Formats: sequence, C-alpha cells, structure tokens
Amino acid sequence: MPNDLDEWFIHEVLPAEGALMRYLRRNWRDASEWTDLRQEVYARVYESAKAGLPERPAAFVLATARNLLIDRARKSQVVSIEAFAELDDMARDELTPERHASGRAELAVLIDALEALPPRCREVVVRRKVHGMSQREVAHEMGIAEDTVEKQIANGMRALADALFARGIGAGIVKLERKLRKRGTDD
Amino acid sequence: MIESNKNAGAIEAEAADWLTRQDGDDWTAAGQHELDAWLAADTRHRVAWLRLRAAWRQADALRGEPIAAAQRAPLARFSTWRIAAGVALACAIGAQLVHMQDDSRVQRYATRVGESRLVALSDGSRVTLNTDTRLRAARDDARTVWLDGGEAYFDIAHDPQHPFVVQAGASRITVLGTRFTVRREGDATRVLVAQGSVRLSEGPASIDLVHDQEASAHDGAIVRSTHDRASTERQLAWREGRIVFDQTTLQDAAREFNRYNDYQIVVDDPGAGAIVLGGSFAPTNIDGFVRLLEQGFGLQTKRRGKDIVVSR
Repeated sequence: MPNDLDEWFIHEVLPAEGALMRYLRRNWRDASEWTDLRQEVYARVYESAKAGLPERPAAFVLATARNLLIDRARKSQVVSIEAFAELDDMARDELTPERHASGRAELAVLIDALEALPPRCREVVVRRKVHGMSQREVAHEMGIAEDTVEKQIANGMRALADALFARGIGAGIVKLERKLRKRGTDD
Repeated sequence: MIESNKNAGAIEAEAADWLTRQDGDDWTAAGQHELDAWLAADTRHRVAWLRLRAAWRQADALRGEPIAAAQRAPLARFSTWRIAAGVALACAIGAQLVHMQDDSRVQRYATRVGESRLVALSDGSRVTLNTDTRLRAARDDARTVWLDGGEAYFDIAHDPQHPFVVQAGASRITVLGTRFTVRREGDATRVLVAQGSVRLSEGPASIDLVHDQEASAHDGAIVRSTHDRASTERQLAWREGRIVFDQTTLQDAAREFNRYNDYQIVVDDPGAGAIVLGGSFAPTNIDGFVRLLEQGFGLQTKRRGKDIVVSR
C-alpha cells in the first residue's frame, strides 16, 4: 500500500504531467514515444526521490525530462542535442503545477472525461463511480459478463488518467495553441 | 530496477488490470501479495499503478452527480464547451445549411467548406454532414440516401424489416441499425463502422464490416482494415468540431486540414511531410496550426496566394 514516497509522487509529481507532456511534445518529434518517455521520466524521478525529495518537484520533473531526451538523442544520433540544451521559456512558465484547481473545476474535467468515453465503457464507469455499484452489480444490471465489466473499467481508468493529468492528448495542444495565438498578431 | 524492453502502454495495461482486480468483489490477500511483488519488480510498474490509482480515486468525486448511465441521443454527450465551439465555428463562417427541394421527390442537404450539420431523417435516423458534403434523400423512401460527395456519419434507427441503404457513387452500404461514417474521396468510398455492422458492396464485391473496421472501395475492389476503439473515435472527432491526430504524418494532417479550409497547406519537403504529430485541433483554425508548425516544430511557412507552403 502507498508509502510516503507514493503520496509525494501523487500529490507533487502527477500534477506536473501537463507541463511534462507539453515539454515532450515540443522537444521530441516522434509522438509514438511520448508515453514511453513520460513513464521513464516518472520512474527516474521516483528513483531519485528515494535518496531525498527535491524541493521543487515540477522543475525537477522537467529537468529529468530534459536529461532523458539528451540521453536518447545521444543514443539515436538523429536529433541535435542543442534542441534541449535549455529548458525553453515556455517550459519555464509551466513550472508551477496547475492542477490545484478548485474541486468544482476538477469535477468539470472529470465529467468531460467521462462523457468522452466510448458508450459501453461510459455506462460501466457511471454505474461503478457515480451510482456506486460494485463490479458484480454492474455486470448483473447490464446483463454482461464480469470479465467485460473488468475490461471496460480498465479502459475507463486509463482514459480518465490521461484526461485528468495530461488533460488528454488535445488539451495540452489546445493550451499551446492559445499561447501561440497570444503571441501572434493576426488573430 | 529499470528494464527497458517493455513499453509504457503494456505496463499501463498491466497496472490497469491490477487496479481493476483490486476494485472488484473478489480481491484477496493472495492477490495483494502478487501485486506487491509486481510493484516491487520495476519502478515503472509502481509509477504506472500510482498514476492510474490516483485517477480512479479522484473519480470517486463523481459519486451522486446527476449523470445517467444510458446515453440516448448520440449527440447529447457533447459537453457545453464543445457545443459552444461548434456554434462559434458555425457563426464564424456564417455557415448556413443549404436545404432545398428541387422537386417533390428528392430532398437535398449540403454543407460548405468548414461547416458541419446534423440532419434528422423521417425514420428517426440522424445524419451528421462533415465539411463540403452533399447528400440526397428520397422523400417517399426514408431508408435510402445518396452521398454525392464529402463525408457523413450515420446513426441509423433500427428497423429489421427495412434495411437502410447509402449509395455512394458505385458503392452501396446496407445496414439495419448502426452507426458509421462514409467518406467520398474521388472515386473511392471509405466506410468506418462505430457500432453494429454494415454491408459494403461495389459491383460484384461485397463485405460485411463490424465496429472499428474500415473499408475502402474503389473500382470494384474493397480493402478492409481493423482499428482500435481509440483510433475510430479519433476519426469521428469531427462530429464534435475537432480533428484529432495521433502519430499522424504532417503530410496526412495537412490533407485533413485542407478539407476544411479554403486556404491549403502545401508541404513542399518530404522530410517535413514525414514529421509525426499529435493533438486535437479546431479544423478551421489553420492559422493556429501553422503557427504550431513554426514554433513547435521549427518549420518555415510561406504564403503564396491561397497556399501556405511548409518546408524545413
């Protein structure tokens, strides 16, 4: 069961996921590797924190990401290393975790994420989380196998995690777009 | 403790399985023991599990919210901002549904470039027209329509006695009750099924498609491919006023944007065209996309009349 380090990870590191994903998107072209990189960053952050918790977790997450990208770039020799030599100005703007949102705002994000689930998956998750039924009760009421309920719940929690932490693949980009628009003049 | 041969998706799937078992009715001490061993085996296991667990716990905040389990109308799941975005999109381009009856037997529907519209047919079926689309419906037979160009998503009212038929050029799609999208690309017709099954025929060739399957019919031949759910959802995101890319090459992304805009992105460099990108975009915000290419990917863009030329 979760220890103190786990609690620290949940409350201090996960809220930086939006900033982390934006950093990876900006600095690593192969989108198919973003999820792997994210996980590798988390694992490295968690490992280092065993020796002592960093004072500024979000900054530490981004610095870890940068080091990882440099390692990868050296290994693959396809991308110029200078690309990540500095955390760019945008990443610096993002150093403050943004997800200490109000409960209501968080609920709105949850509901949005819930509504974006595929219909069958959504039905299962609503019964389990909104109506508080057990998995078995959900299976019984929907007339489907418990295996099917399990599969939908597994899919549902993955989709909810993406929506909540990175705000989905779109949210980061949407925010980036907004930022770019602010810088632009013709919009 | 960090091995490198398993990818993040596989680990996340395992973490989700563990959490689902923990969330279930038969979680045992033995299961806990196995889980502890799995968590201890690799730090990547632990962080993936913590991440999903935190999200799943956070979802407890949904308890008691006024949310119904069943989702009746397929369009009811639009969140408010999406509706707002859709309305804004429609207003911004002054879109207007062209809806005219040139004779008493045929009803025509059309959308302009960048527009998207919902059409209710008299049998209870709903059709969402994507950008630059033309559709005809027979007045005396609500179960037959002709897709003359563009793309449309069909949510067909179930009626086993009367199959619903979409004629798309030389292709014919026959269904009983289901959801799918049909897209015309030149002489080719592409069909992607979201739910249920459909029969696609062209000349003598004919195949049945089920959910998440896509087929392309061209010149009497039909090619079928199978997607995962997420990919199907991405391809249908236009119904919610978005286009979504995931590991999409810039070349393909540009082609998709160009369907929705009078301005056309021209990728003038095979290297740049092969760049892979992801994200969710408002299809008519071509300026935002171009700036993303410049600032996010370091590409050069130049305007040449109605073309926006992209190069390294």
